[in-house]
Amino acid sequence: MDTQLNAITTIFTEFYYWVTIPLMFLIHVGFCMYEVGASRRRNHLHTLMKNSMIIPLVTITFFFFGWWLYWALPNGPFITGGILWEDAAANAANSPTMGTNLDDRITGVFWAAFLLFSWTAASIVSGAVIERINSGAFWVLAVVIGSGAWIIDASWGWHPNGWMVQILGYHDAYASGVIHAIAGGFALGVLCVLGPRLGKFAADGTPRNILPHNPWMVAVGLFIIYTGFWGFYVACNIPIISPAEIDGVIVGTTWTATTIYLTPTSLSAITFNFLMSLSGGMLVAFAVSKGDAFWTYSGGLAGIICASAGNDLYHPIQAMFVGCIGAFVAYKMHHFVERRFKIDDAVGAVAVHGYAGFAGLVIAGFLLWGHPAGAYEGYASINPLGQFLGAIIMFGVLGFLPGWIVAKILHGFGLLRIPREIDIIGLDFQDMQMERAAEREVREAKQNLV
Amino acid sequence: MSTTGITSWAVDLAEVGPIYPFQGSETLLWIMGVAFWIGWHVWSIRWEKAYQRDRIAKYGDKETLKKSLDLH
Repeated sequence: MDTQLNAITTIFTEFYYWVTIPLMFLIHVGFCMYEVGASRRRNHLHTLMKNSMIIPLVTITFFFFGWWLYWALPNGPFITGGILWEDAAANAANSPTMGTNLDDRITGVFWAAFLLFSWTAASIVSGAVIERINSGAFWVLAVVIGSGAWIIDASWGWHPNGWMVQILGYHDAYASGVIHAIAGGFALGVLCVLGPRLGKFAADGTPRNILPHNPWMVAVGLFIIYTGFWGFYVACNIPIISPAEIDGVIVGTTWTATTIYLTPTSLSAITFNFLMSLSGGMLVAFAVSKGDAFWTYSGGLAGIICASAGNDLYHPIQAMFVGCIGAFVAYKMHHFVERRFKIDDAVGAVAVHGYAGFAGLVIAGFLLWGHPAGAYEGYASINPLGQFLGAIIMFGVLGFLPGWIVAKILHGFGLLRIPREIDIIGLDFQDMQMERAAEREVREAKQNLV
Repeated sequence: MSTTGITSWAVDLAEVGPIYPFQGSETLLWIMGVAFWIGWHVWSIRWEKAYQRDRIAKYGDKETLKKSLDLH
């Protein structure tokens, strides 16, 4: 920070990302409320702790190796080049820049912004598998997606020089695929091995609706996720950068905000589009679900998620219609997959994040066809085939497959699913019953004294 | 002598880098951290198994299971 302009830009950028971190923290708060509200009262505390322990586990593993992966693997490796050892070295856990360092003031803030995305990816999976997965098994899965699979996909498709950006013209500005489709796919892979909650399907295979024990808590949880989502969007941008620093094909001296691909956009654009895609999603979800509160709120999320791939560029009314499609796809696909394949996705996470995210990537391929995917010479333009292949890589290759494989391994060791008796008596219900009995005894004793 | 390498702030900040204590021990810290993380997973899986065995021993009889179903 040797000049005033340099100092102001550094401090502004630091603070900009720093503010996104507590905002994104709200996503996790919302997910916890939502999951606990959706679980039955015999499983509350375990549901809460299963999700909460994502925070320390993904944080430390993201420090140990996740952050390094992002910087090491943009080339595949061996698709557009080898492992980027030099770039990655400054972001390895044993690098002097990963600590208190007066020569580097931003790595920790930037690392944390990415880390919060990691929590989100793992937290999406957490909701789908509630009430029957062993917490220990889930925490292994959380590390695999939170500090492994998602950050590899980010390196490939959410890095200015990622091979998917260069070759496929992959564009996913606010993470329809790199967070949502991958987490949805991962959750589906785990669910295929894990199986449904007891009683979810009748003997003839008809799905039963297991109602949330507290719909109000679910609704507030989803509202809080909406709030946190603002931080998520803002964290996906670079707030201000000069063409000289981008060092690409942009000419002139006009500074701009950019996406993570260093392609120009503005905070104004994403503010319009966030709200319009949320609105489109809520309107359609309310209509298709006939006013169901759970699906209306979830539809708002599906709307944003579906439009996110192109929300740096869409017109707000386009964002609204894409949001409408996202909510429709999520609702219809959730019920189709549940009926046809007997998949018990307890909170609709695969649908809201996975299917809506997948659809959003494909739609962006058509709506943004021909727009440059990167700010550098020789990169592919955005196109439908590249987006479709990108969606398959996100949902299938880096999402479903790792989830299914690791769940199979855990299942093979008898670690994945809780025993049947625990499923029936509840993960923590009996303890609460004992406490209630003790409370009753104390109350009765007091009454006897009076 | 200082664990951080800084003994006085009479320096040009442009020439100061890391200031955490025991610089040079990062790789050892990383190894210890990874061992702690893996150990925690092993412990948590074992603990959960033991917890469940205990729950089943306490409440896994037919009568309690039936009562549990009625209560939910």
